[in-house]
Amino acid sequence: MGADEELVRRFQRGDEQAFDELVERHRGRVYNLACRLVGMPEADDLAQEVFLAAYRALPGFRVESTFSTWIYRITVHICSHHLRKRRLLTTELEEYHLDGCVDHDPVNQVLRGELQDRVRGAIDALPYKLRVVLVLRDMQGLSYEEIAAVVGCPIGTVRSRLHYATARLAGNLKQYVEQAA
Amino acid sequence: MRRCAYVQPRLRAHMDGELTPGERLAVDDHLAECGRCREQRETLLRAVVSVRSLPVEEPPDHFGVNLHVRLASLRARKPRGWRAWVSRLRPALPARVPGRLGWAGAAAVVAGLFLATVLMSQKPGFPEISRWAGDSWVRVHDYSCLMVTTGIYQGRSREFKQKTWFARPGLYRFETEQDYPLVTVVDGTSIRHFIRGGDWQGRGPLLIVRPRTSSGDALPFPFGLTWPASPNLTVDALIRQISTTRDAQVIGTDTVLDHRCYRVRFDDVPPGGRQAERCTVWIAEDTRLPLRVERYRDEENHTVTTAADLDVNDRLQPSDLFDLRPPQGALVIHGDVDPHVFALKPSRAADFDSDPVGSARREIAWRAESVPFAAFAPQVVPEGYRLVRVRRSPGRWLDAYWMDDRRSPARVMRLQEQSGEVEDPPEVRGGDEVNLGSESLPVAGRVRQGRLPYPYCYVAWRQKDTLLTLSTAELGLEETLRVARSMRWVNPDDPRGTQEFVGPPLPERSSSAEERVATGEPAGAPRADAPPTTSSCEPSMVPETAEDEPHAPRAGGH
Repeated sequence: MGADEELVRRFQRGDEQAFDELVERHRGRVYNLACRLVGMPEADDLAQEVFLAAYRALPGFRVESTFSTWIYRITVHICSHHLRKRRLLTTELEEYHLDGCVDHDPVNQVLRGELQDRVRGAIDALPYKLRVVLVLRDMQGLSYEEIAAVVGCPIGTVRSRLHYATARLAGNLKQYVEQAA
Repeated sequence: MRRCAYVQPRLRAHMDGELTPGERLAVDDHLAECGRCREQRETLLRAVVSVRSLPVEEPPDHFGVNLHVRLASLRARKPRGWRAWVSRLRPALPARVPGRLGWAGAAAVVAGLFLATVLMSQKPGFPEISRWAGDSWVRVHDYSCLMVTTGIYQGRSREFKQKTWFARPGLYRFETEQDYPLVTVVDGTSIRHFIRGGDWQGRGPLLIVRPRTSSGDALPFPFGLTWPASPNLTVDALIRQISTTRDAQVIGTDTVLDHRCYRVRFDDVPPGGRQAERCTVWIAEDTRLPLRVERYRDEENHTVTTAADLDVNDRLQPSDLFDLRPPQGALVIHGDVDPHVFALKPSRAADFDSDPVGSARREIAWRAESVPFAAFAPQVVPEGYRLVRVRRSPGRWLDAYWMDDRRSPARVMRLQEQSGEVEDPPEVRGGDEVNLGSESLPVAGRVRQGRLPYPYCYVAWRQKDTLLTLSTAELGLEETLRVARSMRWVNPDDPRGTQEFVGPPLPERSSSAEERVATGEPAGAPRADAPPTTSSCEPSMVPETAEDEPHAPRAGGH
């Protein structure tokens, strides 16, 4: 049994501290995923929402999937709900302010570079379903099978969404990527 | 060889090694022959590399603390008790005591656990708890709870319930049905009371808009109910008090709403108060926020307020929570008006409308004997104003309201009288000095004006042994001072008082600007002819009852 699953069982037996350990183990990844799905300013609150939802639901969690898959699924769902409310799901690149969710700290801007800002903007401009699979794959390092479990779709769907996501991203970034290359 | 249309949708999976062996072979064969697809693969690869090269974002420093506070709110709702305690302990205990250890071994295990528990439960001192409370409070951006206050007030048993919401920076909402349904919303410039069932001569419901003049400490959040000797106490004020008080002690631990709490006790004069009281605060070990406050003044005045249904940093608050707009047909009233004045629907005499000066003098005279200071009434009331109500708290204060409801919003003028020993009201602190008497018989006063949420004036001064405060809405400074200068002592034995005026000469209708001079007379100095002072009580913060029991003239109602 993995460390996460052991912590889950401890929590289900009433050990509150086990949940704190789960938070500690996963907060970075959840925050990062939320950052890429909704943007940095709101990721903080939404990542907290994810753990609050997990806290409520964990007593009924049956460990049929891994805890990380489960918490990613909650994150994707909460971010989707949030974006739906904000009607940003279909925002296109040309409508999007490329620096819309970029850290405006000038030092950070210099350090991270314009290309990174463009990449963030291009990711944010993807339709939500494509953005999710791209981020889960390229930023969270999940396999296609794990992505399918998180998103709740067949592996073939993951493969085609990833193809479209990468192709759109490459098209949007072509000019900058080639300049940087 | 496969065609480009077959290969290109598989390029991404090819890069990720997620193709079947047959597919990978087909793509490999195609790429060996097709330059365009190789170029396409390179383009995709560069895009993937650019995404993977993005830096990992770290959660901000406050993430853990905020989450901790919010989780604590959830945890408070979970069933607890000895079963939960046992279940938490169970994982630490061996499933069964190994046979070869026997009872001695079992005893050693229990002793070890006990020792570990003792070592792990080192109690923090007051400085740590005080600092934690401050750190935790600054991280609260919104907050809601049900406040339940029970205790003895003026020797009588009382209980109050109030639902409160708070959002930074400085938005408050209170709901109570203690005496009648009342919603109060406080923002940066105003205090608004919505009285759903209120009416004024067939017009209603009522929305009262008061200027937010005094400090936030006077707002009843969230422990601000019921105290006769001090303003209401907010969490802000409580945290400040905890951080500045000396000789505080941690007197033990206790459980409030399933939260383990530190009990902190200190004796202190509360912010804005005059008399020391013993304050005990329960500060939750997990959220580090106060959950209960006990204030003890004497056997006849002591209350305990507990926060229940606590939600901290819960972003699910409705967006219109602090947006209190009057419904269609509501009567909007501008003025520093206690909502009880209109909600409790007092009976009015016929001459309240026709003779606002004479009727006020009569009503004030009728109550003058029950207050330990000389009572005053105006000889001048602005045109169009009629008397709404005169109230008194026996031994403590007296107030009167006039209203001009010929237009909307209606405007209210309020006169408040207290013992001259009471400090100047916060509404005039920092205001201009003004002479309300004459050069030969000066009466020192202090006046303060504001423009939001509408133009308003406060003027406070002392005559005989009485502190008088007059507040007006949209009346103008000159007219306000004209009313203040017309104030005359009311002889309880001669309510009409035609020959018993003691105050300065009746002012003429003239500008007061040139009369603003500092006077040498010490504020509050009683005159030789003043009746003896028997009490120095301040206005109460307790809702009045239908019998005209004490009420908060300054605070926001309940």
